[in-house]
Amino acid sequence: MHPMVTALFAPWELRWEVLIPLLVFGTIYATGWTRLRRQSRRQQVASKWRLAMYYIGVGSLAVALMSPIDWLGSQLLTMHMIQHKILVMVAAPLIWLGNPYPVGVWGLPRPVRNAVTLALAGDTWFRRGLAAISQPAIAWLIFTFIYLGWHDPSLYDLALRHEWVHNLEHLTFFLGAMLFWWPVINGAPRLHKSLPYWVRILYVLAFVPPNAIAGFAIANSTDVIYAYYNSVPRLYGMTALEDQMIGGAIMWVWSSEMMIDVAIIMLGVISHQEKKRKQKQQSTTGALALPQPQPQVKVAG
Amino acid sequence: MSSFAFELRGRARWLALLCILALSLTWPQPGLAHGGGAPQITDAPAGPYRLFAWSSPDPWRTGGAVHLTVAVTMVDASGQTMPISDATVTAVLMAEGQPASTVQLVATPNPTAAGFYEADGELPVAGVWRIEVLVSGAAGAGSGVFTTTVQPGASLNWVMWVGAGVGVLALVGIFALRQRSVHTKALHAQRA
Repeated sequence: MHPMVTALFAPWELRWEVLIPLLVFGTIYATGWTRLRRQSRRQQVASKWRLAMYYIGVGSLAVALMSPIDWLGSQLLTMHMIQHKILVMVAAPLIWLGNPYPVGVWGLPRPVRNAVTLALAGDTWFRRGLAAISQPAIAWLIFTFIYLGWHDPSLYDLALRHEWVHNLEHLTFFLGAMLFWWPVINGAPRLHKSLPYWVRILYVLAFVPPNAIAGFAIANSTDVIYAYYNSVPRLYGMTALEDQMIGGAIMWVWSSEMMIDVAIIMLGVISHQEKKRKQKQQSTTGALALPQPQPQVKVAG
Repeated sequence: MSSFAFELRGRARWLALLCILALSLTWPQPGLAHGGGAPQITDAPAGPYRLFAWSSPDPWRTGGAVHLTVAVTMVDASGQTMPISDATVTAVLMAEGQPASTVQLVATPNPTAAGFYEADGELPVAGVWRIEVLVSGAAGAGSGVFTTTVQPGASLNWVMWVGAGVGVLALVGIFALRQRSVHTKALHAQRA
């Protein structure tokens, strides 16, 4: 068996700093979902598919941060890139699709629930701050800055040398991605007007060029950019440069492809909405075009 | 009575959760087995083996946990680097000019990664330390050496204080919210 496959099936490392938040948020969501379902099984807020999306999202966070992918990331740039893609391109949008705010808030104890609702519904500094950073243009800029910034060689190497910097990198990646995907998924709480679908398409497609340029530059570099990977044993049948080429290609192709896929899905939604609108229009016109009773003309005999 | 007991159970559950959170922040830093660290030995010959070593955190400090990751590999006839999983790896840490402070650590194989070994310890004095990594296995024995400067320990365990602070703030917050809720209920009752 290839050493990489063997390594991927190695035991997971249960890291308390990851496990505890995942368990806490998982429990809160499960409690809220159960409470809402007890009230009505037909409501849309806590549906089964949303439950599945949320837990697949949380599960993908666990895969990225506790499975052998995490450890392999310190040995191979390729695995580190895969780990980052899972955090920003898989976990964040899936968690948003799970509708975490309305469900989670019902999983909180009443005083905390009241406090959270007040903080988000009232005219509070928390809401104002969140509204400021979640404006689509600002959210896009913040995420792109975080995403590209951490790929600077000195910062990347620093993250590999210091555990706390590495954790900070993953945390900012994830939170930045949550901010980025917020207007795309249009998750609650909605602090801004919903973006029309065509704007969402532009929003996600705007991320393709900066990501592709960075990924292309990494993949085509003739030197090892991230010097840390020169200090590790080459156990998986590729040199540091080959590893960097694959890692760069993953960054370039995966993220760009993901954005294009989302744009295609949005186009599908637009087309579906248009079709429904036309059908509705036709049925209304059809109803209006029903044969009207003819006025009876009496012919005087 | 039963609703009070239910509420108490609910409150106790959340209190327990908060305690776990606060405890998690004050938890002693465990062995950092998920890779990374400052490279100290890179692909150095050690008898029949090739040796790699990383130290974390960077820099090492007295009073706190120090961690050493060692990778033992061998290059086979085809030029392929192979991990060595059945070696015995020991690290002897000696403070310069203070032989009495010598610390010996036995590294255990990392279950996640073949050929990798992890060791945790604590260093008693600051200054320059010489670390000798000894490897013995079926193919023979070898060693590698590096030196590092150990810094004096931080006088304030800020992680513990931040954890305790978060715990206290959370408890105060919950208490304040409970009080407000009781107050609001009393006001409503008064108005009614």
